[in-house]
Amino acid sequence: MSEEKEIVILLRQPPHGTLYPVEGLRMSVAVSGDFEPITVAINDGVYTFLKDVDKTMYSMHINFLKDIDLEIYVDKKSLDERGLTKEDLIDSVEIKEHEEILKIIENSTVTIPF
Amino acid sequence: MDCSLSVVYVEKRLNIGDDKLKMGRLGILFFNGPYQAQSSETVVKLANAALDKGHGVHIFCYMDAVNAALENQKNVEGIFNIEEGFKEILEKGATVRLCNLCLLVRGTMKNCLKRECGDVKRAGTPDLAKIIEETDRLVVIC
Repeated sequence: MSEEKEIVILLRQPPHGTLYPVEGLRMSVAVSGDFEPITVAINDGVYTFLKDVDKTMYSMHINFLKDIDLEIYVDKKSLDERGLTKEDLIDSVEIKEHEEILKIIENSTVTIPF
Repeated sequence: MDCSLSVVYVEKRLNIGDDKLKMGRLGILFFNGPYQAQSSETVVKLANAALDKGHGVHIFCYMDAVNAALENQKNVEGIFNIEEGFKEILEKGATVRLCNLCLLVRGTMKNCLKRECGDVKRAGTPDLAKIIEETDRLVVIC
């Protein structure tokens, strides 16, 4: 395990019309063998974790990340801008204030944007 | 430059000894396909510059970027040939890893650059973890 490097997988694109969140979550799963990546959803990436969105292609990735106790954070500012609340999201994600999200990214050693 | 360039710093800086510079290891995670944006050319030129200075370069091509390492790309006057660019950096010692699944879904598994060109091979996403682990800095070009 290489725990000295903090990896952030940054989901910025929506799950409809693009495959970016699917690939981002796949990347989180892939690097979890060597690191403890934090998955962060901002901007349209927050739609990835809506209760009602079709998660056929990536629900297994979310389940895997939760099974191994890896964090998935969602940016509150992005939710507010889209009129979304905690009730709209699945239980396995945690909402963080925008400043906290920025701090997480700032403190990471590698950030991979999707 | 018409691609967004995310430079991600790794805490472990280049090791500078008392009297000499130890060569660094640069990782490049590359997302874009060729001939649509300048990013493929940027990857090649960035890798070339690092290799010319004696640094190690390790490239992981993900999603459409696997199409940058295909064979038989046509030479068109005035357009940078990405295949030749990749062959050049491979010849100089770069390693190129191509996401296996990305090639598979694009039907380009058998058309990618062969090992005779250098250290290029199909790989899985865990290989990216290895690149992150073993390089001093990772640049994400997307």
